[in-house]
Amino acid sequence: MPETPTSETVVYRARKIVTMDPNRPEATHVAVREGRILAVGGPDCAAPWGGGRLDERFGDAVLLPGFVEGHGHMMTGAMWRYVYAGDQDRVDPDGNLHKGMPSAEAVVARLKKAAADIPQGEPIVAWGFDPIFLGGERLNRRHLDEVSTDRPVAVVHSNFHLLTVNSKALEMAGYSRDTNVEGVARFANGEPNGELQEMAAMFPILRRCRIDFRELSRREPAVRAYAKSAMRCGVTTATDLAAMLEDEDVDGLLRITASDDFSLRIVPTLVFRDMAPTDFVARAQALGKRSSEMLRLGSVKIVTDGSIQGFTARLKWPGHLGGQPNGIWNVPPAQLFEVIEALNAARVQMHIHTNGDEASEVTLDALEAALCKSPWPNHRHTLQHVQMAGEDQFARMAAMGVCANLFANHMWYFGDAHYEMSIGPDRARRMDACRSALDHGVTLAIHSDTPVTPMGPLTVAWCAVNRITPKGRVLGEAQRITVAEALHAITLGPAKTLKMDAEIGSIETGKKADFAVLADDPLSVAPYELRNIEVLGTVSGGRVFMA
Amino acid sequence: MSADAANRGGGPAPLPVTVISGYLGAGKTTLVNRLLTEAHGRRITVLVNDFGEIPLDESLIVNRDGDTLSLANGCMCCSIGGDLFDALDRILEARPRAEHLVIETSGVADPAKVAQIAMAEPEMALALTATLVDAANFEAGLADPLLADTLVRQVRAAGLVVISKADHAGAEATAALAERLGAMAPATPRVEAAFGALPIEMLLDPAEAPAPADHVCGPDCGHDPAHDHGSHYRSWSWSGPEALDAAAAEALVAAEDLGLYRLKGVARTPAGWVEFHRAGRQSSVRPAEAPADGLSRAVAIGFAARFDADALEARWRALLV
Repeated sequence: MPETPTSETVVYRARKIVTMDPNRPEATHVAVREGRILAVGGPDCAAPWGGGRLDERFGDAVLLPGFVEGHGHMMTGAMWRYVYAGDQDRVDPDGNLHKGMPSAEAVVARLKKAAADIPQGEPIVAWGFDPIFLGGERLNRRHLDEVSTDRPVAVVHSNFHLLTVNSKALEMAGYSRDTNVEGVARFANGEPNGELQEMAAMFPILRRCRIDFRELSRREPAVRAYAKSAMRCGVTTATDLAAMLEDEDVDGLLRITASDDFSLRIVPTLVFRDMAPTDFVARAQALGKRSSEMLRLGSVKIVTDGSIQGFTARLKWPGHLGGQPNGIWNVPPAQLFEVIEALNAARVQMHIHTNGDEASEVTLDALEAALCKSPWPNHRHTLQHVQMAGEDQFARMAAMGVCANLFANHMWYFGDAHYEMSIGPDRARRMDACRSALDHGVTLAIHSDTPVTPMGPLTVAWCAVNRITPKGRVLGEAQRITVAEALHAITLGPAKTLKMDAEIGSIETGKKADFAVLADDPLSVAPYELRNIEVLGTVSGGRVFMA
Repeated sequence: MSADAANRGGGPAPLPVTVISGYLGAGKTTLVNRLLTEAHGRRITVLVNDFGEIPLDESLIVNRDGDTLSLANGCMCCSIGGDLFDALDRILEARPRAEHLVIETSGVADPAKVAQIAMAEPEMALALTATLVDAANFEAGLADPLLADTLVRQVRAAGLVVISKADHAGAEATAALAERLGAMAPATPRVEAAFGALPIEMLLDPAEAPAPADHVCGPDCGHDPAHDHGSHYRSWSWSGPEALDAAAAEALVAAEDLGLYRLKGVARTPAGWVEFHRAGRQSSVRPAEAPADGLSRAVAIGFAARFDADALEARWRALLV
């Protein structure tokens, strides 16, 4: 059970404390009072404040500022309602290890076992599957028919754009060899093979099986699971970076996050959809008034384009390696100018999704126009992903004070695909250009976009430091950053992008007592071992949560 | 909804769907307003991004419930809210179900992607994808490298291109635009429309446009099969006890050379009953329940200037087995 913060002063001793505070980069003791950091230093750091009770539970551990996930989604917490079918080992919110499955056959065996515990009549649903990492025959309906022939079986792929189902599910959706729908993949003989690509083809199945991750993620179990997953990787503040935030959602979030056993500060950002800019501004401002200690509202998300691996990002010349058509705008460029101007004028902070370099360019044009019209020092508007930005775009970000939250996990999860298929070697080598961002003086954060890739700031840092792909490539040595810089980019960096750096992101007097509790020191282990450091738990506002 | 109720055969007839696309300012909102308020006698549900944008006459609104406005004439206007798929699910679950669904896409959406949803979902049937093109501003859009590919994609996805604001653009510019559109999508019919001139059935389901006489025309009824259903299009229909060759029927439904614009029907094949739909350039054939009277039937429509109903009739006869 977590402990309630009190007015008592507790002095935690640790093997080492990495503070991220340049005035005292390292310490061994931190004094906590009323959920905040009172003093940092040695055994007697609390003495000027009247001393405190020594607590040695972290004596063998290393404390860092609680990690900040600047780009994640609450949906992460909804996934575990279903069976995990990924190839990598993964730990669920309650700490159970789910072994990765190396083949379609292994997935089938897992599903058979799980089916016994799923009530009759209910669909058997799995998630996290990724065929590109598996050998052998690609998962198809014949495999899943071994699990069941009389109830639907649906395996959601890790990218959420593909679904593989059994024959029963195909039958429920009316899919047959006569079906003339894009995205219904087939065997050589013309029969659907069970793989369904993109939402249009997936919808009839999702609907009939009642699979709705978005809806699930609005419920309390998902919110609590998100917090637990965050705690297990040292995260004490996480965004839900594209939320609908209906009034009842906010009521629920305020209540849940305020409970004593809740370990995560959540920053949900209201997502822009096609509506009048003035209405959107009013919604964001009304939400801002409802912020609490643990729930920070008022900033917004705008999605400008799609994804690079999905060939839907807006790219500048020379476009996609295979000559695929350019990607899609989610907001017409003209409307983007309008809404960015309105939000900036109203002093609403924006997180703007731009994957392709054309999307980043247009967004920077719109931000520049808005900021000329209505200057706002310290706006902290942040480009999210901004994966293909070159030197020129970082220079513009620096000039305008725009922050960058780079998707460093792409190096490992999609790096080879970018190199070989989507954008080619030159641009793949300078993707997620952390070095360029820092050299230009741009505020830098790095992220997982969980559940797109698993949440885990130490893994994200590992990616930014090593830039290694599964095939062993180093994707752009020139863009590597140091471990210290990477730690900054998972603590103070994202805290700045959330305008919370006065409260979190470093271990120094006055800030929240939010810590990541690690088994080892990231600054002492070999950089390649960064992601293997065990996370023991977190401290959130002075309350201890152990994994 | 229970999974069974959503299964094929158990539920109501598929909901016909019209997808309306077009860039900002092309007139989608005006058109949607017309669909909601005109006396067309159908309970149309229109799905829009944000109904705040539609200048609806307040006196027509009988109820507001979150994402849904109900109108006195039985029509409804729903906003997409968080997610298109959630919204579609709500509309499919609503009882009584709408008689027609019109989806207004965002100014940069690829309407083909939305149309695919209606083709995939057994409880929906794509009637048409219509792309509105603003005669006064389309050329400028094509000259914008950020936009050109999006606009071309919208035109290529259309089963019908509606040229709006021709009066603003002038005859010469409109003619040039028509030529441009013809090069972009040669097989796609175009209409110029000050909106009052566009029969609403063309957007909903031209195959159901009322015939002048109170009957459905067939080859044996003595009517000129090319008779006028309004000056724009002509129709053809057929019914009979015969079975069709399934593969040949599928090919004919998708044929590009007949000027066919909309075709729908249900037919017996040696392998069982199927229903088929052709909407613009997209077509689908899928298994169906047998109709009560055991008769196969089909109805088709095309533009007067292009549709060769005689050729269709001849080729249809050749399908009978």
